[in-house]
Amino acid sequence: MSGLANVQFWAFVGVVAGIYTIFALGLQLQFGFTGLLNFGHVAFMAIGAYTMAILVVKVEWPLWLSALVAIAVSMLFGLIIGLPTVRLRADYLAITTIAFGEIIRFIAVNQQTLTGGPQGTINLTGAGRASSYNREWLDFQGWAQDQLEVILGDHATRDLTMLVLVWIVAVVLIVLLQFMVHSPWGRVLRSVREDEDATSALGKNVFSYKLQALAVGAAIGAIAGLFFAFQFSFFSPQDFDPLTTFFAYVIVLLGGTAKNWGVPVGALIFAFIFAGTRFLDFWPLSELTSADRAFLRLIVVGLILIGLMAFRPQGIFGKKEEMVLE
Amino acid sequence: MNELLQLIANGLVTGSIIAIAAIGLSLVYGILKIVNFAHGEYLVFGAYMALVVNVTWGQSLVLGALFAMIMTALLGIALEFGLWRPIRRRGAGIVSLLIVSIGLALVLRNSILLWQGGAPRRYDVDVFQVYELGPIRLSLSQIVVIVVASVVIVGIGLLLARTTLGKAMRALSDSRDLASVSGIDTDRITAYTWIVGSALAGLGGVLQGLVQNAFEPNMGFRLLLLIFAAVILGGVGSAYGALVGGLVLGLMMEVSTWSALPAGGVDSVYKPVVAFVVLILVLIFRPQGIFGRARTV
Amino acid sequence: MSVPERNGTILELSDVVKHFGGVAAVAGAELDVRRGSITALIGPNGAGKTTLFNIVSGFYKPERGVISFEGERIDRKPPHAIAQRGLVRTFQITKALTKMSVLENMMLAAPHQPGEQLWRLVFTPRSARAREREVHEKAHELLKLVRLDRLAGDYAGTLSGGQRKLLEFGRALMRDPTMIMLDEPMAGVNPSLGLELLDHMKRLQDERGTTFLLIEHDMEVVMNVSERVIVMNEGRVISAGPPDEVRRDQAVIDAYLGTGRGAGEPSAPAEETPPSEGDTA
Repeated sequence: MSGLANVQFWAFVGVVAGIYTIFALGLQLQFGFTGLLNFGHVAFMAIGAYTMAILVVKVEWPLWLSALVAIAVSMLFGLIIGLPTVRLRADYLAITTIAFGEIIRFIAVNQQTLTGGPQGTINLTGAGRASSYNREWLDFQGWAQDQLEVILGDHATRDLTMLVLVWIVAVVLIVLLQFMVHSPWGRVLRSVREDEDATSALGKNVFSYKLQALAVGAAIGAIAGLFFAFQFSFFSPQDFDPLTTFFAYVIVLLGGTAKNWGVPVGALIFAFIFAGTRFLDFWPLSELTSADRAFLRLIVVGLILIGLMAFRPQGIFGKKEEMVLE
Repeated sequence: MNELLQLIANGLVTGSIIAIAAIGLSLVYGILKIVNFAHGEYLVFGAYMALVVNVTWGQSLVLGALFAMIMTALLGIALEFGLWRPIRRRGAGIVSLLIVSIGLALVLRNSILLWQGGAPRRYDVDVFQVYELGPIRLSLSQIVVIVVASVVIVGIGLLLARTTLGKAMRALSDSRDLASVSGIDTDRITAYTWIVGSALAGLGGVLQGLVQNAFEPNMGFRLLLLIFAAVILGGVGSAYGALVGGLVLGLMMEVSTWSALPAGGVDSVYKPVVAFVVLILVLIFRPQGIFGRARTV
Repeated sequence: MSVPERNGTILELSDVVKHFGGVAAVAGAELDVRRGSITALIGPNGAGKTTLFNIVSGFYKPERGVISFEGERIDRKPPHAIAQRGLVRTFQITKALTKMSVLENMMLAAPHQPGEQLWRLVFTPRSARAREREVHEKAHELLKLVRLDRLAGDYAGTLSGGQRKLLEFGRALMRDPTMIMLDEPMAGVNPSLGLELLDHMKRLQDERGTTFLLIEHDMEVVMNVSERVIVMNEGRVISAGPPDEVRRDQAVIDAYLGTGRGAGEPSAPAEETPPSEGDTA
């Protein structure tokens, strides 16, 4: 089994798309609905994944508790970074948050005893003793696989199980966010995005709403980090490069800012560009090495970003009338 | 004490490269409201242009550096006409332009990767001989950087202070509308700003490639936030500010590792973090920069 | 400094100062607004009227001076806190939320919506829904009043300048304010509708005791509707009193003369006056 017909491979692509969907949903809330130009979103993913792994491996807490605490810690960081910065204008907020994300990554690289250092969480208990945080997750995944087998029989593989689990969470989050942004709370966020002065003149505390959006988005980013950690049995600081945040922007802008259902579509397109294109092996692409193809893919991603901003800033599903991009 | 002097010397080397690279970013930020996240790639482009001359064609690095400046200036002006101006005409605001610059950064960086690969490259020069100047030890490459940087910094200072072009650039950076009312040909000055800023970025890339011995296409993005920190420190849009900001930042990063400081100074792996923290603090407490005047608008 | 609880005063400013780049936009303004009155704030171009509105509503921090609303100091309070106290303003250059529907603009303004708090939204969604129904009904009522009910579903961005003024007025009323500050509410508004709005202001004043402070350039409106006129010039209050008194005040006449405009009957001194402004005459 190879190529486009390989179910396992597409299941993997689907899992990645699901994780990116969750990750980008957090950004959708912050940037799409509230207008916060958060360029350090990847830090929340990193904080979620690392906090969970460290608590499981070093403190030996149960996975579920560790995961919940990880989400809370990420929210807390959202508040800490947000308190002094959400009042800043968009470009300054972008620069401060990207710097914040890089600080987190530098700490992950250099505080080896805490994080396992550049080699990643495999070294959490020190070099030479491979450590693992996802035993409980694998047990759960195995249980879920058993349930799935009842329906799908032999098709219910590990990857497919993960696919189902990730997308259940993604869809639940989309529905939840959809409810939230169309609630009175979300109405205030959208109003903050468009005009802070008008919003505060109507008695709404703009600062508080921005903080809430940042913190809730941080929690969602942390959930993406948890799944990232579950999917790959270890991870390292370079997984949390600023590039990952930019990918989330590509996804949000592709689907359309302030369109929750655009996020999974954007993520699927994005995942296809990343994974699916390896099957496009006709000439001249067949001449390229796999490294070259990786570069080419990123060139395509860059061109998509430029093209979107130039020709269709509202994305696939966005409405021009609702576009707020300074 | 000797350690401090050495750190100051190192700081001047780092700082002058950041300063040279920061001028273009600051002017473009101030004049065109482009927060150019692709600016680091302009440096990388310059570094590789010089590599072509120096290694592929076997010419001197001096020639390579000049070629790099010319080519990066051409890149800058081509992107102004081919990308930035059309997008500006479509009424793109600061956030849209910022996102475009991220797309551009991805395109440029990965084009260079596609062309040259990701393996570290080095110039074909022998500048690693170390000189002892009193208590300070500097490699020839570091000395070259300091000399070149001093010449460039003085040159740019004169350009900005004395020439009509320089004055027009500063006026434009202060207020685009005002400058356009006072009869300055804003389009022409904008083009010159890109030329000067890009050429300097290209030169900065060559110098950085030289001092860090081996470089690869990700060098630009690693420097970008440091360059931003210099721009912000000096006040967005101020070319002088960017120069001073770069030098101050370089010195701060190096001196922060001084072992006589409390807790033995900052661990040297955290030098960039010092810059990031400075960046964040300045934006929070003094967004007009440490030298800039507060503006009401 | 003591906070005087003078009977009948709802808003009181003393010695309020604000500079911009060395220029005093407001230079020690003193004024008071009586509870339940309709008061007009007039003055030549650049007198500092809009700046004063921005200071009172919390958008600018005054460098000096005391502002009290209903006996409480508000000069250090942020805009949203002032609005929550019942002092609501509109903007000279309208701030309609153009990417939201007209109805959403109205509903956003409503106070006491538990659904605007995240935890209440999640844990007591019913109270949020119940309040939302009330707010919806009220928004429709007020939209009818400002003749925008047919446009409820449209994006506010499609409204004309005059319609946006009406939307802002309606939006301010959504908050059930005790006092409203209107910055040129009639500019660009269809004259007959403008008269209806004035009627409605008077009705709110009668029935609920709502206080109005309005910046207005149309002297006809000012003289007809307001029982008190406050005149500003060069950042100071130079005269205050009943319309008839104020129009005979030599200081006021001089102030308007100083701007090169007609004296005696100060006729429509302009501050970014739209061309349709004289239509109500």
